[in-house]
Amino acid sequence: MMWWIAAGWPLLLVAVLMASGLLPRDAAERLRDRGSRFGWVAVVPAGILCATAGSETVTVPWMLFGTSVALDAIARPLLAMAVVLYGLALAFIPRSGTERPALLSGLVMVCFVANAGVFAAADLITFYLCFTVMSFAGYGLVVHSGSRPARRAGRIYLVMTVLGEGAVLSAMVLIARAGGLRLGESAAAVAGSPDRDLIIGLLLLGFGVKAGTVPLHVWLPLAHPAAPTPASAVLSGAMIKAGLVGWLRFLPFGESEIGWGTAFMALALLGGFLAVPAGLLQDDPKVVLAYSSISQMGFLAVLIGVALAVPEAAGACTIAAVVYAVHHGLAKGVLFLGVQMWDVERWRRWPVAVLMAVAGLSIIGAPLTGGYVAKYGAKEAVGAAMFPATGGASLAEVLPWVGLGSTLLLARFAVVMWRRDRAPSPTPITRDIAWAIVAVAPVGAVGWLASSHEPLSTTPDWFDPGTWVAQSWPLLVGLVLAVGAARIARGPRWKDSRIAHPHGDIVPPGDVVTLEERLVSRAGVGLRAALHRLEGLATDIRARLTPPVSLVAAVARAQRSFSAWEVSGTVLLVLIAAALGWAAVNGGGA
Amino acid sequence: MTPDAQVDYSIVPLLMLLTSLLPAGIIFCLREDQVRWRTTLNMAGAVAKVGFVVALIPPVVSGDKLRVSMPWVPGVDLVLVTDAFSLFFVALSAGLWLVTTIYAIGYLEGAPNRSRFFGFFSLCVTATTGIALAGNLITFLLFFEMLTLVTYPLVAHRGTKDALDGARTYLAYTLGGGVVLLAGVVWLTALVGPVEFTAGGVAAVADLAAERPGEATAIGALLLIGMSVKAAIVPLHGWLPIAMVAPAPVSALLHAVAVVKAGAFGIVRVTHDLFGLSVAGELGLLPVMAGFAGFTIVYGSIRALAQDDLKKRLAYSTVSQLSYVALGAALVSPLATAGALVHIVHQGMMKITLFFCAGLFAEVQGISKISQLAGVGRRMPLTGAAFTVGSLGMIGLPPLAGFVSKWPLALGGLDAGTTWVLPVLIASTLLNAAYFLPVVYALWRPEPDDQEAAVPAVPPRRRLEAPAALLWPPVVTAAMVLLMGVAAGWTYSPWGLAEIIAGGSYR
Repeated sequence: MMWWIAAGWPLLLVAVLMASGLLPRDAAERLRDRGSRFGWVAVVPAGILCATAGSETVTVPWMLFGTSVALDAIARPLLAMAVVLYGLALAFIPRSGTERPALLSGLVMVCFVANAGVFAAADLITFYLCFTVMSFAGYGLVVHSGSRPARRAGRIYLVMTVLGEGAVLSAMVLIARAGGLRLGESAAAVAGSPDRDLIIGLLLLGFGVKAGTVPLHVWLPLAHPAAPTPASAVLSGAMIKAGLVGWLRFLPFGESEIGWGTAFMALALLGGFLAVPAGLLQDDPKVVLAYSSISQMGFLAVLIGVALAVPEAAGACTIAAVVYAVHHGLAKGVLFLGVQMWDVERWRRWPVAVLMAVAGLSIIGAPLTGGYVAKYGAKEAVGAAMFPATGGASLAEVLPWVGLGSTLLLARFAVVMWRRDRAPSPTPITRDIAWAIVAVAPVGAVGWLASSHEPLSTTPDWFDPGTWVAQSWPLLVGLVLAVGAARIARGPRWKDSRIAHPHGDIVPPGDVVTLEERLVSRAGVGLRAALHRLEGLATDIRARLTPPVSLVAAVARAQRSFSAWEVSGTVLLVLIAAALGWAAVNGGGA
Repeated sequence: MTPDAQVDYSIVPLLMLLTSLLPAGIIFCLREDQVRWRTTLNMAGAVAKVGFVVALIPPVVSGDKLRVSMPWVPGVDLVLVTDAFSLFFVALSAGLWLVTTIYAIGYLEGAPNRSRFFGFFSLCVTATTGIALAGNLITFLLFFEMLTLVTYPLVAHRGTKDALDGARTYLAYTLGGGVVLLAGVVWLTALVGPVEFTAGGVAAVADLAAERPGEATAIGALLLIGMSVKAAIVPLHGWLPIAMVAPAPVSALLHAVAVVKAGAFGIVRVTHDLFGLSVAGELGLLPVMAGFAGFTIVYGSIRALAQDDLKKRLAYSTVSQLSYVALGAALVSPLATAGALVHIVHQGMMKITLFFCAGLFAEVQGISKISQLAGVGRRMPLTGAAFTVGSLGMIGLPPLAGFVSKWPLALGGLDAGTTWVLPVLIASTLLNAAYFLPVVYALWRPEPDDQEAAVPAVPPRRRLEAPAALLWPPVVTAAMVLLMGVAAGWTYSPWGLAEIIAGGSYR
């Protein structure tokens, strides 16, 4: 029952908002205004569900091929994160600068239900259903503003999504065929399937699009910033995690020692590090954050790679990934919404800046933040695993360097934010307080979550000096580098340098996408030409195939002689009726 | 296709035919201006047929059959049976006939020759019902040919040169197919006598296949080729895009229910209820048909990509989508069979939605090209929404109806050991996305980029964006597309029924 309310309530609100078009203009305006101002109530039932429901599987047999949901160790924390993030984002919509807040609220609500479904699905069909709905509803968020960049971002998003969708669907069919319809059995089914490697490849590809794995990440730095700020927050905080959950649910952990584990690792690290220079060259804060998301998702994908390759580490890596995903979702959401806090909300500069700094420090993994717990747990989970991809060093030594990259990216973010003009306006104080709480609270929540999974997960000692040093050197080194770079950039010699003062034009947002776009458009021209040739060929063949005794010509003659339709129709009808009637009278008893 | 069913003699199947035959007869005699009479007759017939179907579903699902048999010429009986599969098809045609009638009444308001149109329209549905209820091959053939003849005036309705050309091509193809079919039927009847459709195959045909496999194969090939013309399987699909000149309600009916579905239905009847899957498989008919169907799926999609005319694009999409049914019918797997059966209904519902919308765009905004569609969705939100639902359903996205047919087809393809089915279906999904999403994108585009292509907005004269009789049919069918997908697991959903029917072929 609670499940029905949790999923149905937001959808009901969406239906009401949609139906508002049937009301008189005034009433519709009022309803839409209410709907968007109190949109956050949409997530309340799901929040209650998250806190109270048991972990048993709930099945709805009549829906699709049988739909089922459950709150297991992966679903519950992620759903809780989604509830907080979506609720906060919905609350931020009225002042996000959108002209149609009700439409945006409705879309975000649909995304919420689908996203929650991705986390909570207990069978493959439900998972795929929610994944697809979320992907396509996400398109609405990306193009919402209707501006030219948003539409370009939307096109690229859509193309990538459809391609990813194809890979995911293929994988789903193969997994279902292997007997993995229930998510609890999917990974085992994949492991036992003769098409195991194909399935893993398809999963990597399909979910990699969503998770922003290099080189499938190209849509992300375009789409996340193009959406209105609250939508960016959910895109980058929660929806991006759908790909991760897909991996956690379906990949056969501990089954593929060399092949795919290494491939994952290589791509993950590539993404983790390459996102940094690309992001540093941007001057739109939301683009910088998007690159930070790519880098962070690279970090998460490393955990997946280890889990794939090292059977003993699989359980710990799964929990570490969930903890990390919760931490990153909240912190990234706070940062994105922070852009709006900075731009239009009523608070002064300093409190906003401090709270955003807290969220930033959390992403870097500095002591006394949620990231401190999450990063420590991740490092412990990968243990001393060594891979060719890491160049001989153990993974636990490589991972902090991602933290260094994060520091640099967030320093860049801070710089571009600080330069932004503010236009504070009297906004509801409750919303701002909620934001502040979400900025500070994750440290407790993430800590509690990690410790509740002990001994599978490892939690750091809050005040252990050794851990402090290990966790804060990326921050300190990064800060030193950032300050140094800033000083140099200020110098007269670098005054006109495009590298020292980047404007997102050296490496455009979406980096390689510009090349790919050009390739695709060239391929499109070629394809169109080929299609036209095919059209011509088809017409040609039809023209040449005229048989010696043309049926068409014969019909044409008949057509002329039967031009009085009423007559011919009636004749035909009378004939048929007579035949049927005669038959009925004669043979009724047969 | 339920074998151990109880068979009762009943006049009901005949009455079901008469619900559309009688109105047809009277409408032909009506004057052009007797609108009220015509509308009443049309609606009464359509509603009565839906009533029959609804009343028949529970007994037929529980295994009862109603049968009427009449000697026609010596040695040949006309047999009408309501088995599960025939009722399935009648349900589709009755339901869609009802909405199409409403749509057509609105569409042709004030147009000339309406008595002729609605008369043949009703005859067309009579023929479809006859095809569905036909209990033996001869009856099937009779109604199959009747369908050819009565749809011709509908395609040619406008009487323009294009319309006549299109209709002529249509007639040439379908008559040609009819001749081939006739040859097959005569040959088979000469060898084994009249055959009644039996779930899992007719014993006499199986014996024939065992004794003279060569002849049996040839007969099967003739029958299937005859059906394939109407089912628009490449290379016999040429008539379909050309027949697009017909008025929108006719296209809707042709594409979603009557003609193409008669072909698809016939293919399933021949493979499953005449030869039986194992016999058809041994004769080598199934793999060949699967091959042609697979090729058609991809070929139709590629051709659809190149069309700028909305109705033509939809037509090639029909070519592609119909072969899902033929493909599923050719795969030896209960899941694939059920997928094929359910796609008969799902494709009908989705395609009729799309054609209704295309007709609305043409009627209300005067738009028939995709390149002119920019921003139309904002002026006609309900139509745009219905079109969007139909398109996404065609791509096969959950929770819409298209997914419920694609998923079992793909799984069934793997079950049957034909792994190439999966890549074909995935390619079809991607291609479907490639030719439908741009249309949807154009519909909802904020501002037309190219001012020249923009059509001036129609001043809001009324609250609804289009006449109610035109607007509600696509909205209702779009809602059905959603409903049939979401509630697929319900016992009486198309999917639930398709599973039951498919089970009959594997006992």
